[in-house]
Amino acid sequence: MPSSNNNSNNEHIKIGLEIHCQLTALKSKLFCPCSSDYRGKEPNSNVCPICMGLPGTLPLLNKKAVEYAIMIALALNCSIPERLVFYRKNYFYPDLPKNFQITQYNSYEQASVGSNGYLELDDGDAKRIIRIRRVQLEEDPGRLVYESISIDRANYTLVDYNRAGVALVEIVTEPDFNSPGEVRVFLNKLASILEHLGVCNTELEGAVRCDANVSFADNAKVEIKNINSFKEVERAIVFEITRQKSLLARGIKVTSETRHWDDVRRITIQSRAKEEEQDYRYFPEQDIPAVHIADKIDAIKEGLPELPDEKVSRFVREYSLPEYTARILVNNMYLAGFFEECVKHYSNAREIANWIISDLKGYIDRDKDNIVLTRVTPKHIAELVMLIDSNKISRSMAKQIMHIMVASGDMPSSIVKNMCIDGITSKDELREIVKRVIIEEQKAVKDAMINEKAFNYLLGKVMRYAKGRAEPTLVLELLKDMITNNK
Amino acid sequence: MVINMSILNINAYELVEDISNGSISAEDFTARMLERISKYDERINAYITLNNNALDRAREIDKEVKSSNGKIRSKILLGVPIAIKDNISTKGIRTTCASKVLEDYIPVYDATVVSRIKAHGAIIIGKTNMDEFGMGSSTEFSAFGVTRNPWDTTRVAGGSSGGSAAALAASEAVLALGSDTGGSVRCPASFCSVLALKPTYGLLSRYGLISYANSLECVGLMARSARDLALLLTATAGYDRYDDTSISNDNIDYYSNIDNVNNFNGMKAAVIKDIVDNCNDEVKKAFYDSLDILKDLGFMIEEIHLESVKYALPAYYVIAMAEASSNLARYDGIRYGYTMQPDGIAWNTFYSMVRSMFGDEVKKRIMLGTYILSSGYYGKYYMKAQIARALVRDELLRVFKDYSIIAIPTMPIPPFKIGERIDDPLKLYTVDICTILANLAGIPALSIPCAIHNGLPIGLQLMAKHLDEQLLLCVAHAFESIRYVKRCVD
Amino acid sequence: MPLDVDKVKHLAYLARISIDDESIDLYARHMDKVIEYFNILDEINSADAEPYRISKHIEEFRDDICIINNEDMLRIAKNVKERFIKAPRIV
Repeated sequence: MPSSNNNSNNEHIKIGLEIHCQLTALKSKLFCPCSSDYRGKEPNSNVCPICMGLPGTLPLLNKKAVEYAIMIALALNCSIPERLVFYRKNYFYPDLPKNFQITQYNSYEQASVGSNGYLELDDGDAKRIIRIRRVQLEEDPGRLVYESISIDRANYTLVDYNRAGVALVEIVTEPDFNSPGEVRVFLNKLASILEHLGVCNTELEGAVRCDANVSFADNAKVEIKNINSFKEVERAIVFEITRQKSLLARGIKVTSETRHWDDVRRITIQSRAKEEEQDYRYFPEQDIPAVHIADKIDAIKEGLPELPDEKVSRFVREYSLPEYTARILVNNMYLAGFFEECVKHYSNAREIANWIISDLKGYIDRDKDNIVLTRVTPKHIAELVMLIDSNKISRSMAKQIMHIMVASGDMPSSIVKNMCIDGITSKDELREIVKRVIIEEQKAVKDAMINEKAFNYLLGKVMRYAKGRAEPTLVLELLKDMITNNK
Repeated sequence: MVINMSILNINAYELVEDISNGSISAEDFTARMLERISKYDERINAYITLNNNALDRAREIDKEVKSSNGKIRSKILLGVPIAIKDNISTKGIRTTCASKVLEDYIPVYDATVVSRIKAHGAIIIGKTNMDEFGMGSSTEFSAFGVTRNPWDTTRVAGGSSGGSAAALAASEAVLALGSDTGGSVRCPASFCSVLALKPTYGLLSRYGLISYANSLECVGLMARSARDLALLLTATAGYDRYDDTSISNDNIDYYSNIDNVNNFNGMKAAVIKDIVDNCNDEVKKAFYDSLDILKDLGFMIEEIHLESVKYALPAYYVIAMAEASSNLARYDGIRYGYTMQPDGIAWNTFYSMVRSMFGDEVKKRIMLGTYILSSGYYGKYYMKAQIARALVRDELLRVFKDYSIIAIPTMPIPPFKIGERIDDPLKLYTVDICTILANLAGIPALSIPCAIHNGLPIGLQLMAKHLDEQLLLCVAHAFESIRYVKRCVD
Repeated sequence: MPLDVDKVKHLAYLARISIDDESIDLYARHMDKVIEYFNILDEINSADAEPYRISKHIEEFRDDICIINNEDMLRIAKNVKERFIKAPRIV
């Protein structure tokens, strides 16, 4: 949620965004069959005559890219034309193989995939609408690499065209944002939408780029370029607003300019190259016929995966969840799916949801090796809640069982069985078991005091040797005690 | 080796027959042709590069023939030496577009039309001279010298596919590929007394055709008979997935169908009065004589007037130059082509230095194209030109509702003297007036020799509606059966 | 407005083409004549027709299939360093 202190200082902050998302889900580039996955490849090895701009080559439009772009435009409530047209944006730059970029342009006609859309932000009680000016398809240029640290001292530039031609969807908003916090909420929502559509993995390095236009109190607009992840955007805007405020406080005018975001030093800096006025000489790309899409739009609309907002509403409706809970679940697409699987096994949705977001989620968030979810399945959680509801176990016992379950992957019922029926192992017997485990697992013991994973591993081993017939709190106590006193 | 000239003048379809049944050796024929080139080409300068592997390929074909026992029937260009205009990509063979900027550029892939003719057993003899990047109508704007007209070496061969036409007329090839943006195969064909076909836009793949004006241009076919054109078209036409503007033709066998129609009773031919009136007297005379032949073939001839013709030439040049300015932007020396060491040079300076290697005509057209597309001028020039173009296309399509073909001269003048028109741009551009209509509308057009007047060839041009190449070929075939004009110089 | 020498210099810059000073006048004269000739297009009304364009249905375009290109594209580049292509500096 946008923080309230920004609102109180909201003296006419206007922010607009220009977001570039790679269509990472595609197998090939936008205009050639080269792989769309260029990461980690040797320079200039993921290229072909087409994306290198060799004489005589022609662009071959990827129709899946068009479908994905339409999906994004629909999710952003845009109006979509009957046919798409591509345009050339002409300028010279070493990373541009043809010295023009194939893109879309709406000044002469409605050429792009979407226009006049909007996204609703939930801002506490208020609903904010951010207008989307347009959604368009275009190709990514190559990458420039510099050998020396300072670009100013480089004698030449090195170019890698592996990325050239990868499909981008550009989303441009109106300057409707009034705070950096709103931008953060918007980008989170956009990332979630893209994830649900399955078209762009925003976590991949380089998958999203953002430019922001910031103006404060009706002063000149400053464009910030080169923000390379959604997470950095809020930071960059906050810095820029602070910078502008401090200029104005000293009586200095803000100049309209382009600045770059330096994510190492966390500042915006004046653009190095003199930003020449560019005349892009847009005109239609004649090598790609106008793409007739009118009769496909309904089918694509019907086939759209469930979007986050729809899912939240549905969770509230179908499972009687409070909206807050539903939002947390939906925000993690995997957990939302996990939750629904649980409910298939046992119907107390609210309890299940609570156990997921207040307990399981904690383990998952800390689980860097992604092991937890290989051990804990929806059946596990469903059974746990069922045992609570049938009064077979208390809530505190359930918490302990969760702890064991996460480490061992055993079903709650078998953990309970081993704990309750044959009585609890005596403290002396337990101490012997713990000793044995400590001797066997020297390495884990070394790591255990700092690494919770190692600790849990030892705990699991003890419980296994004790065949579950041990009180977990006692085991914890013994383990901690014997490890710290162990040399 | 004494070269029997008449054998080098053979038609492709005859040569294929003879090679397939073993009565002519491909190696022998190719060797004779190469000999002819080595003796004669310095007079006309039709070729920029010869293919070192031509004889090897010919030998392979002879081996195939020996071991195949008739299974090669499917290779319809078997052993035929073909000249290829130097703006068509040939893998492993230098492709220069007659420009210093690509002086040592060797492509890593074949154009689709090249793959197709190779699959049909053709032998690439060499790459022919042209106006640099296709910009010209006389092959005087080449970095590799002028191509002279074999019929009169003080005159131009026409352009921009001058080398291909001259090679055919001088028995230095049996078939040729060119490209046609505004008449670039038809003009030199008319000037050199050979045939040329500009197909429907999209019928021949443009993959590998180095772009000058991509919404206007096609690969063009050149030959010494209508049957040969049909053979070449059958081998090369049809959908290609490497060209998004490519269209299908349902695999028509133009060659087998060429004798099907030889009587055109009931068909009407339209003559565009506005264009014929602007041609010079010799051309007019030859043209009207040709109309008599069309009448003999059964056509009813009627004169028509086209409103949009006066906008056609300016519209053509606006579109061509605008597209050229963008299509030639890629030549910056970084990924291929003429270059220099970039160390220490700023990128704008570097690019300008590399691109200073373009010839003057190319530079002018790029700058004019840049002007036309520059801020504030799009609506005035390019957009208006594309509207004018739509008007031309619509008007022509209306004509084809009532008429089967349109007949006009190919060129308004006979071949002119070298140097006569290069100092005045408009004087050069206006020679395209008859040919640009087909490029603007995307329709097929064919040029066939119809007279030689004072030793200078004159061509008749026939146009038809989209995908009606078969009709054009049939008419041309019937025409040359009645009026056969000499194709080769001695 | 005539196409003068300054305009030609600007166009040469936009197109990244260098022309020597002796030729600029000639270029300007030729180009001006040609632009003059193009002005007949002013007679055309924007409403006269839709601009010429070809179109295709989306189904006719390329499927999203990856094909690896095994030809080494660096073969034809002359300035290469450790598989990067060397280009002039951009500042």
